Amino acid sequence: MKLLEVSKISKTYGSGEASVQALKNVSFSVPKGEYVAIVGESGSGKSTLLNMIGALDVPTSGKVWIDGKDTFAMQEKKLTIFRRRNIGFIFQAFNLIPELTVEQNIIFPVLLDYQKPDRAYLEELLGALNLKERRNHLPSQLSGGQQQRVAIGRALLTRPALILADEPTGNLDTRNSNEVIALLQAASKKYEQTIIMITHNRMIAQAADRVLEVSDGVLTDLGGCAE
Amino acid sequence: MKSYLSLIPISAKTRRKQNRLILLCIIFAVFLVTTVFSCAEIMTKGQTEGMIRHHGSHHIVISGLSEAAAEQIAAREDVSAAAWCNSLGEDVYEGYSINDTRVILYGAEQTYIDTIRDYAQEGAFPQNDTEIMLNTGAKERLGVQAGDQVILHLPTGDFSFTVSGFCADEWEEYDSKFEDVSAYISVEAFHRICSASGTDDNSDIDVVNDGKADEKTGYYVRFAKGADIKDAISDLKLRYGLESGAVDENLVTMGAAGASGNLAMQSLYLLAAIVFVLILTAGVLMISSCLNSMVAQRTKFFGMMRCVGASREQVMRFVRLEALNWCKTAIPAGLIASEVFTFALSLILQYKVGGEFDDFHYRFSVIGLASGVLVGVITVLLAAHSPAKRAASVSPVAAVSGNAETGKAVSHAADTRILKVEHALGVHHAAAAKKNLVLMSLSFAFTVALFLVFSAGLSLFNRFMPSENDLSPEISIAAVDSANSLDRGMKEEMTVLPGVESAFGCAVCYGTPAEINGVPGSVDLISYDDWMFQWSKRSVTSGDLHQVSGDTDHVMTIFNRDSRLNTGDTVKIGDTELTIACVCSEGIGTESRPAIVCTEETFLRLTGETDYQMLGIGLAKDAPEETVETIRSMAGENDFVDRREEDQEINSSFWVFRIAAYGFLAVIALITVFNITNNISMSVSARMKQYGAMRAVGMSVAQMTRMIAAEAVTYAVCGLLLGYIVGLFLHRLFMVKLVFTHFGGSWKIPFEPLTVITLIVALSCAAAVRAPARRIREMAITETINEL
Repeated sequence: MKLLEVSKISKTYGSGEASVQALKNVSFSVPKGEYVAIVGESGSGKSTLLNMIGALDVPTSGKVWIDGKDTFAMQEKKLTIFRRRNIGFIFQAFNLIPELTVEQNIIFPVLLDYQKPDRAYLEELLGALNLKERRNHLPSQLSGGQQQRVAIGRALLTRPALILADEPTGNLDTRNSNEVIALLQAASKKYEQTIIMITHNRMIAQAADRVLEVSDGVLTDLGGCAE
Repeated sequence: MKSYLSLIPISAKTRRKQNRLILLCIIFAVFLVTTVFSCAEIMTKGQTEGMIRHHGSHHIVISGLSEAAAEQIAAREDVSAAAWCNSLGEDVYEGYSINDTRVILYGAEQTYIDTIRDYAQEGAFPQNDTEIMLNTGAKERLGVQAGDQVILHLPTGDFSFTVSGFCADEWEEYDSKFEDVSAYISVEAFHRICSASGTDDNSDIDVVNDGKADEKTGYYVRFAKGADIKDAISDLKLRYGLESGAVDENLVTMGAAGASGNLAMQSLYLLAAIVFVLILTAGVLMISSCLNSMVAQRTKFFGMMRCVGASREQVMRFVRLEALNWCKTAIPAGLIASEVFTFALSLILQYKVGGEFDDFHYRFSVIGLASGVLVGVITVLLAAHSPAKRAASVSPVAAVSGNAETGKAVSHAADTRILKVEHALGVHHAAAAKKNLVLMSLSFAFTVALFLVFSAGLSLFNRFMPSENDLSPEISIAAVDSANSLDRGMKEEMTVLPGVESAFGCAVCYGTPAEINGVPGSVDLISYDDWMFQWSKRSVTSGDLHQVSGDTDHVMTIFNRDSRLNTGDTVKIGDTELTIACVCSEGIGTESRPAIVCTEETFLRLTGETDYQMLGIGLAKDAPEETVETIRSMAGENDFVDRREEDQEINSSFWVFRIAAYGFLAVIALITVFNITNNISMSVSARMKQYGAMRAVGMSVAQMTRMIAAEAVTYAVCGLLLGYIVGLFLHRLFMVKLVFTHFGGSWKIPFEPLTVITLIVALSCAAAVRAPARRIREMAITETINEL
């Protein structure tokens, strides 16, 4: 069953002679529960593609369906709520809210929905992320690895079908990087979540079910690493 | 590009839209400064010229001076003009007339008319003893033309003169109701008439000889420009043995020359200085606030400058010069706007308001323009100082991230238990920066307190405003002998006249013997009709007015700070004991005795009188003149007072005062709006990256706007609470000290101004949130989320 379908996505920045085509007619689909790594040179269009999938940016042409829903056909308000409930984001720069504690940061998407978080699941997440002791700490009181774990917690709390990670280990050392990837893989398996992750790290890419390469805006499916 | 500073005009072109607010601020500051100083100059010059027209351009008048001494004074180098002018009958009518019209006679030298008074003339000044110059009004009053013969009638005989010309003298301008004639003859002819009538024309000022004449003699002296007037006067006194009383200073010209010790003139200079400082402060606050916001938004740019090797000093110079670069456009725009506004204002004041603003003729004010340019530049330089330092202090690494506050540690978390997350974050953003919160709260509190103080000031002025007091109506008729002799039927007849809005009548018995709380004394017993009681409802300060109805022993009193009668006090008139049931702050009565107001029935029982002592008639704006004439004829021999014109002038002046007061208040409110707008804007700029992440993880634009609104509301609520406390304290203090002490009444919470200022603050918040909310709406999430 396809969770994500990207159809003929193109993105052009600027116009006329100064125009730059960041993505060229990109199409692919990802089934539910698959762990996909996107690799490519800097400036190849990886982040642009991820932003299109997450509906953070609008393509020049093409469509994206998540769980059968055409994201770019949605109104801004509906899209925001859809993103909040169905997509989890993990950024290289963590992007935690400095005024909120670890626990508040994790439950932030639920707070935005004016709902109460599932306490049992929260406890389970805090335990899995090894953040129970740090739940009342502010982001400024955490290490980089801990901050990224909080960001993962935030991405997982709403049990989104799709998790988009843009170089989540880019700011972490090897030990923390391995921990973070292990956590993501475990979540993907346990909750049957689809993960699309941009990475420069070959080792991390090798652990993915499938690797996609973006070069000069063109996507090539490199298939499964095991293959 | 010659240097890095060449970037300034290029940057200004590309950031035209963003710079609009700063330009507006500078234009507004320049406009304000230029307008205030231009208006002040126009007003001062207009008034001075008006006063000079009325009082002359001389600096001193010397009395009791000999001819020889006068000649010596006229020859002095520090004297630009000097002339004799003697008068007869200026204050006391002694029977001088032409064609039965009273004449004020002047014996003057031509210099007095031409130079000292600068009267506009038609024809010529008397060239010999047989010629006479009359004021222009005389042409119509006497029906004479230049060259006609007129007979000046004096108690001692008649003198024939030929009219040599006419002049528009002070009497023409000073009082439009002046119905007499002023006549100017040569000093020699004046001496001849004085000799014939037996007056001593060399006498001192205000000498009345045998009750026959009121003659003034004086030698008018105007000093040359640049002369040390104080020294010159001392020298004249010493040289000619003049006593202090012999030298009369003209305060207008002395004040204009800066030589007067007069307090009124000194107060004006002080007021101008205060306005200068206020506007300078306001301008610095506004522009500084805008520049700070601009710097916060361009952290990345300044950071890049630092990264590529610009020193702190170079960044500071860049910000200062950029601010000065805006002056190139903003100052001329402010000056033009100010001149247009001043021109329109002068037309309105001159033609619509009139009265004391008659002299407000538009003129090109060099002082206004110079101060606009000067204060504009100084303000911009002062305002740019702090933002320039701020820009220079941005660390290159933090700057490149576009987040000025990156790295600032948060000490405690936002409380999301009570408030929604977006509200909690907004409040936290405001409360986390303590210094900023205090400054913003003080800024709001200042506006609120000032507004309440102004409202107290206005309620004091309203007490003096005739249109606000219906018991001082447009037309009133008072019985000629102060007796209750106006027929009651007149009131009913007047009520039905077209254009009459209200008519009321009251009877008064002044100084009625009475025992006040058992102590013998006297009161003014006054009867009110139903309309007057109805009107009094609004000024009840204590007691129950409804008890004063029909034939009752309950009466009302008007607050009088000397007698201070209260409800429950008793006043015994004859055998009847009256009880004070109600105290009003406004009404009819005298200051000298307690005013006891009763119903017409009670008044009849106590005095046996049924007619009125005074009738008041309130007119509609479009009341026909025939109605006024009918009322005048109905008044007959009684005193008829028509206050329409006077009321109009006073009302106009009050309106000008109100507009000026509220205008000033609007400026203060505007500064608050600028402050909060820029603070919110800076706060948003500093957190742009964070907001991008919030949007990415699902915060909607509406939630984002509510978060910014919560921040603004936090500032506003803190400011309002502080402002309410300080403002209400000051309001009460002002009302008690200035209003209630003189007019009576008790302090109540002023809900109306409180509501108005709360609304203003709420609107300020809304305005402050609008622009940053738009920026967030237009923000590209992808640009911020992955930046370091």
